[in-house]
Amino acid sequence: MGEHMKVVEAMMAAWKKRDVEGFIATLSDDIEYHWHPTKRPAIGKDKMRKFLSNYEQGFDQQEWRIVHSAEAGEVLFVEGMEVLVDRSTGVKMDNPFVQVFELRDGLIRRMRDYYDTSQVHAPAKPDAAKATA
Amino acid sequence: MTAPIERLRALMDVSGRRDKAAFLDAFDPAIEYHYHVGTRPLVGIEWVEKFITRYWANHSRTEWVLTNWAQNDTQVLTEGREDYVNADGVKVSHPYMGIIEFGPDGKITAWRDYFQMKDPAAT
Repeated sequence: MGEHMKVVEAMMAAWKKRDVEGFIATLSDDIEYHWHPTKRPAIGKDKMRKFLSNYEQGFDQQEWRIVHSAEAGEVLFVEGMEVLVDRSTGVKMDNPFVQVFELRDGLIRRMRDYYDTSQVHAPAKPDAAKATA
Repeated sequence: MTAPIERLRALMDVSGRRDKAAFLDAFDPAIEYHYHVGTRPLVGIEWVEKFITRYWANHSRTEWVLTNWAQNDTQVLTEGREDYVNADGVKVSHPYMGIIEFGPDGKITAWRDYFQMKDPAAT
């Protein structure tokens, strides 16, 4: 396992315990998270705490696993699957995804998610589901 | 085997020239192509030929841009965008992430593209 992957594994392990500060500790202060292809990114740790709170309100993430990965310089790619239950509807769904991470000094400074938002709406914003369905 | 990224760059080159024979030669006959993860994949080289024929017919001024990539022994994971003019004459820039897998003979055995299916130009 590469060094970048160890950081991401630590982030995932923290989230699986819903250890928000453990998750935040893997991020740089200037973290920039593009959680949606067309929305503004979450920038900074306070925005990340807000994002995680919204995400947890919107979804019960029951599974989060990585199936493929590769690293090059500061960049780490992962391909994986998460299993989510939409708390507003009770619908369970598989969400295949890719994340691209950029790391600096052992911390994640950028994350970009790729998935189809027609299947998974923005967290804690039920209206977005209608907009993208 | 040539590194996955070198094989991909060769494919991008023939794609840019729209050399269909060379393009199809890069694939294993049993290729599983997820042109959009979440949609049923195309399985078999015949379906890839149908797909690329239609794609090139409906997209002009195509440019395939890689912004980041990383590779392991058999896969290259890429982030980039496709710029093109769609069938309605609208210029589109479509961000995507793609994973290409190669077999022992260097042919592409699997390909998965992750992106928003909805045309960004339509939003």
